[in-house]
Amino acid sequence: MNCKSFDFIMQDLARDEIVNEPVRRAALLHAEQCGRCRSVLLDETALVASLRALAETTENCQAPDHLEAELRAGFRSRIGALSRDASPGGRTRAPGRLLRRWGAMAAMAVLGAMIPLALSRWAQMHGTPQANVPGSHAARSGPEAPAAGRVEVKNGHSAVPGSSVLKSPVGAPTRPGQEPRRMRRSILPTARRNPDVRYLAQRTVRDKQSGKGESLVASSSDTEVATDFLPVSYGADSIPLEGGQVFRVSMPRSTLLTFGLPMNVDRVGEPIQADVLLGLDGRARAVRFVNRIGNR
Amino acid sequence: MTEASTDEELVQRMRAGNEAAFTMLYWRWQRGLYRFALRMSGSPSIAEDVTQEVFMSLVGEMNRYDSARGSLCAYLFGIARNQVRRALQKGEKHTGEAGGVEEQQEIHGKQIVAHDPLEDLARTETTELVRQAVLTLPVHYREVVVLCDLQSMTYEQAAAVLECAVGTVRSRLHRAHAHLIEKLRTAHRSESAPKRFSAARCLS
Repeated sequence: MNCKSFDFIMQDLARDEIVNEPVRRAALLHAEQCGRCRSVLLDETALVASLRALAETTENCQAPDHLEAELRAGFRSRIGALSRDASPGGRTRAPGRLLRRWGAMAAMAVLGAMIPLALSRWAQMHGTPQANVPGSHAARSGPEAPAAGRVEVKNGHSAVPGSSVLKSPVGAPTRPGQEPRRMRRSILPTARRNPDVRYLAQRTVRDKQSGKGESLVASSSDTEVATDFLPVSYGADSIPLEGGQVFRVSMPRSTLLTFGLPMNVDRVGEPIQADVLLGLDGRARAVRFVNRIGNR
Repeated sequence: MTEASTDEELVQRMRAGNEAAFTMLYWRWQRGLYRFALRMSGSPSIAEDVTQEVFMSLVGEMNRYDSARGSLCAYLFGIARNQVRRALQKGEKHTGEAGGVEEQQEIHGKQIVAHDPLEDLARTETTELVRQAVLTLPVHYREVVVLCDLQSMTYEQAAAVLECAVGTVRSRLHRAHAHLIEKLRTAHRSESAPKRFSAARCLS
């Protein structure tokens, strides 16, 4: 054995982890003959012993008792919230600092919903063109399509349960009593397949029925045609959607094929616009493809 | 449900709302996670926060853990590692601060059994030197030392936690040990060096 191969196994030798006995014996023999390697091995052995002594000093340390109680309370409230989410009804407040993060997320969602509203009001008061307002009608149906594959944020609505992701942007033109020309299927068939999208759909329908929010159909441009929101799955497990944002992006037209939708081969080079629902974890949860009737 | 239940079984039960399964998972992993965070940060309060965050993540995102992608151990320690890094970056508590030392002395005070006072003192001093040296290592070296030397993980387990190759763990550990030996040598040299103020005090 030479010094290089000794260096390679010296760590295991000091930790007494060499399973192969002949190799261990050869290494020890080399250490006896080579002063440098002997010194290195002694240092390493001493260090390993010191580290083991250090490990022993904290060997009995564990998390404080109150942590278990807090986490169990958090677990119970989380399970309770999940079961309440599965059935119609609101959440109750869960105790403890364990839920601080979830509370912060809800606060962020409310803020996210309030900012476009405030901007819209401000724009109306000051006569600013609506194209400058995030999520406005003009911004959504702008003439310039982004480059294929490049993601552009067009609409940044907050979308935690309780807020209306699929509602129209505040300030978008609605025509009471007039059926918009936009052809749109209900999102409910999709919702039946995906509980998270179902929740959002139910919420939107509830808002619509109660007159609290604008109708889903009136929410978008009259010149747009959109598919359902198609859920994006990640394996067998369904990941709960606690919130998210809808982004308008431009995609290669061939993406339609990925979702089993027909594609016009003549327009393969043209990008297609889509609304992507991104969860708080940054994953895409659902996609709907949007086409402008004028382009067809 | 018994002690012999696998992590996967317990996670499945936990997802179904079984609190006992969650508690069992907690008791199975909290010590290791707490110690890992403690040894990485040197601060019991950070260790407590990290342990809490790990289990909160497990509860909050129950479906995120996928057993096909790795063991629960690697998953939990991966979260803990990220949390520790975040806490260290935030500088909530610097590892070498006085508060940390006091907290550590409190911990060590409980552990040391007084057989021979002088021997214990020497051992405590050495251990404290090693602890300080570990805490001053760069984080990527500290991680391998804590996982392999202090948590007694195998190279493979550490590699799964750190999401890197086994060879990377070995080489980092090699370099980390070299750093530690150097630091300890320097510390010993400075300790053995004569101090003027001590002599002045003796003469007074």
